[in-house]
Amino acid sequence: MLKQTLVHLFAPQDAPLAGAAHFARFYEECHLHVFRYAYALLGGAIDDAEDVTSETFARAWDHRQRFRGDADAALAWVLTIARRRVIDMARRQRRQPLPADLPGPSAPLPVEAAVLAGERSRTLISLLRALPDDQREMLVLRYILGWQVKRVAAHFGKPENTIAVTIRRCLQRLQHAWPHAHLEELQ
Amino acid sequence: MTTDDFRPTEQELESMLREIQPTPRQDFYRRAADQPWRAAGPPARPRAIRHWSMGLAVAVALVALLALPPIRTFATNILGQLGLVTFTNEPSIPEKLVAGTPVPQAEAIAVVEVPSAAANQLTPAQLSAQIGAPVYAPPAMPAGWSLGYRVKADMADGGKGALSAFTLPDQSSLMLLQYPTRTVPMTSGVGAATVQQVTVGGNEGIWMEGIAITHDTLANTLTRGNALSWEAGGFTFSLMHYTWGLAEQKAFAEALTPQQ
Repeated sequence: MLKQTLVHLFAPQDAPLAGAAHFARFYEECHLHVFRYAYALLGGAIDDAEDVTSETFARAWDHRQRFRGDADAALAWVLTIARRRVIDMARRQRRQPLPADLPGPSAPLPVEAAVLAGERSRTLISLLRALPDDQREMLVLRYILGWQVKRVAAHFGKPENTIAVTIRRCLQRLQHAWPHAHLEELQ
Repeated sequence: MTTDDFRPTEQELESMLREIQPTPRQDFYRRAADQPWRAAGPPARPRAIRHWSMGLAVAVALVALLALPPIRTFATNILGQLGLVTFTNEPSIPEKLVAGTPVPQAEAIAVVEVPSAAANQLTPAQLSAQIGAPVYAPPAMPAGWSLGYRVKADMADGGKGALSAFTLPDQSSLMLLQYPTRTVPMTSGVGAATVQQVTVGGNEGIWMEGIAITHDTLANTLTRGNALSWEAGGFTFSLMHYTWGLAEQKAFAEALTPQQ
């Protein structure tokens, strides 16, 4: 889907993101992917995910003349920038508690359905956060960004089978850790 | 059902992961307008933002249209009437939630388990057997459409309803809620939504434009859309979509038939 919408932007040229109009369109198409990627890697911190998204595209804009490649490569490029920003941020904030704005069991919403959704989302985000970085990123790319296994494999430079098996094992670990997981168990 | 007695299958985990689709807050977009590549002005928010995060949307949509506190709760402007339900300009439940205003659970009249697996795709006949009443559905699924889910909705007053979500070709969802018409007067806040009295298949109805129909519990954001509610055959129906106008919703509504 992304490829279809971006393909016209990437007619052969030396620096496909150099022009402001092209970059703006690229931002339109990709900023949600970057935001969701950062959001999930950061454990559901909306403020930080917004900051990472803004910083990522600001940095990409500064270095846009250097980029070469197609639509997929452009997204992979900005995600790589985002990952570095996430790592920097995580180092500064390591082991901070989960964001208070996520509804959780200790702060129940009054409507049961919303509470259920919030509890489970919070649990899932917590469990994701406790996975090793590369495994968490595989799940984020595969499910939250909706990439095919083949594309995730290319992004990591690993065989498809390796990625598929790793993702399956991650899901099993999440399942076994649910819902009474102690986050340390996954590490 | 609570989180404590819920252990997802791998397939449910996959669905739950796919449902994590947060969006930045409005302030993020205001700040983004100053970015250097935006010399020509900020672009429209992408269509993807309007996509439903299916599970969360269910919870939220129910909050929006089923949370009907007693009429004596408010003294406010009356915008419309549907049977015994009075629509006012008081904030809707999603608007209260996003603003951090406490919402007593008693204000919700329905609790629906958030669907997270394709196993929730009951046929009208299956669901009809569960709720003991005919389930309304389009006679045939339009080309390019698919069923997101169809599940039972347990009403707070003990009644049983049906909730269906149809995935449209643009990946947006059209949600249809059907429940026994309540028999006591109630009020429903719709915030700043515009309300118009309409008829649906000759029956009394209400068209609400710009109503907050989802509250993303992860991002704590609202998304507005349009909703058509009407009463027919002892049931109240609510149809919701982010962008569909009155003509589209009304045409769909009038094509529904009871199925058992």
